[in-house]
Amino acid sequence: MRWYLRILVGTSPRRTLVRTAIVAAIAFVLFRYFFIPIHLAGGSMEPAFKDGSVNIVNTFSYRFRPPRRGDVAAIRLAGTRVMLFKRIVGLPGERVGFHDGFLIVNGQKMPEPYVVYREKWNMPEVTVGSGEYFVVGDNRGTDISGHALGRVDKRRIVGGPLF
Amino acid sequence: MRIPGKAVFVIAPIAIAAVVVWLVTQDWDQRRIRKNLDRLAAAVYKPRGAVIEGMDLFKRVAIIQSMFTTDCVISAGEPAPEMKGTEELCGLFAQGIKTVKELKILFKDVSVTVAPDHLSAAATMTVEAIGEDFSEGKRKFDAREVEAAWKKIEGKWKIAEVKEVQTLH
Repeated sequence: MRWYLRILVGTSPRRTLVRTAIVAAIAFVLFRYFFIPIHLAGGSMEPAFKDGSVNIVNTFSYRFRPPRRGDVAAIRLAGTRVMLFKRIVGLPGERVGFHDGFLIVNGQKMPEPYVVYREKWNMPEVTVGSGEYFVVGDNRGTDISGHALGRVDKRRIVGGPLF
Repeated sequence: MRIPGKAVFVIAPIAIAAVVVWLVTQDWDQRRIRKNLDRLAAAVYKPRGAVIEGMDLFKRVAIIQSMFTTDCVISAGEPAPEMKGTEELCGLFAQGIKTVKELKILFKDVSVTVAPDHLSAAATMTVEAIGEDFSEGKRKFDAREVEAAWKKIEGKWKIAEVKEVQTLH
C-alpha cells in the first residue's frame, strides 16, 4: 500500500471505516443534543459575548442545579437552531425592575459587574412567577424598547455557554 | 465487492418495499406546507444591493398573495405592524422591500401538525430575519417564535393567521 493511502485509511481500511463511522455517530449525537454549537448574532450580550463570535451551549449546565443570578442562559425559541442568549437577573418569586439603568431586585439595587454600557432604563417592578426567571442582555447601551428582556419559562432554558 | 446473483432477488424486493413504505407513510400535506415556506422565503429574499422592481416585484407579490388567505391576519409582534388581508400584506411588502438594502427570512425548527380532516394545520417555527435598511446602514438580526394557522383552499395550503409566541414576557 502506498504511504499516503496508509496514512489516510490505515493498514486495515475496513477497521478505519468502522472507527470513522463510530466517531461520526458520537460527534453527531454529542453536538446535536448535548453540546450545541452556536454563532452569536447581535450585540445584546456585549462586551462578554461579542457579535459574530462562536460558542457552545452546554445542555448539562442547569440539569443538576438550578440557574443562579448572574448565569448566562441559552433560551430556545421553537427549537434549538435559534436561541436567545441572556443573563439571568431574577429568580422565581422575586420582584425585578430597573431604575435609572440599575437593576432593582426586591427593592435592592444589585451590583452587575458585567454591565459596561448603560442607558437610563426604567421599568416598573414585575414579580417573577414560580418556574420562571427574569432575563436581560448585558448591553444596556440601547433604548429599553429595542431590547428583548423579561420573564422566561424555565423549560425554555436549554443550558449555558461552555466558555 | 461481488454480489451473488441470488442475493439480488432478495435485496431488490426489500429495497422496493422500503421505498413503497416510505412513500405511503410520508405526510404529503406536511411536505407541501414546508415547501410553501421555502417558496415564501425565496419570494421575500432580497440579496444585498439588488433592485426589485417591475416584473420581478410583480412576480414576488403574486407568489406571496397566493400563499395567504384573502382574510389572513398577521401579527408577528413589534416592530412589524398587524396586517389584515392579502391586499394590505402585499402592499406593505411592495413598499417595504424598496426601503431595505438586504432582506433574508429563514424558517427554522418548523413543526407542522395537520388536522385529521386534512383541511387545516398548525405550524410552529422560528422566523429569523436578517436585513439592512438604507436609513440606518446597519445589519440587523431578529428572531422570534411564531404560530401559523393553515387552511387548505381548493387543494392549496394557505396561511390564514400568524401570531407571535411570547418567549419573554
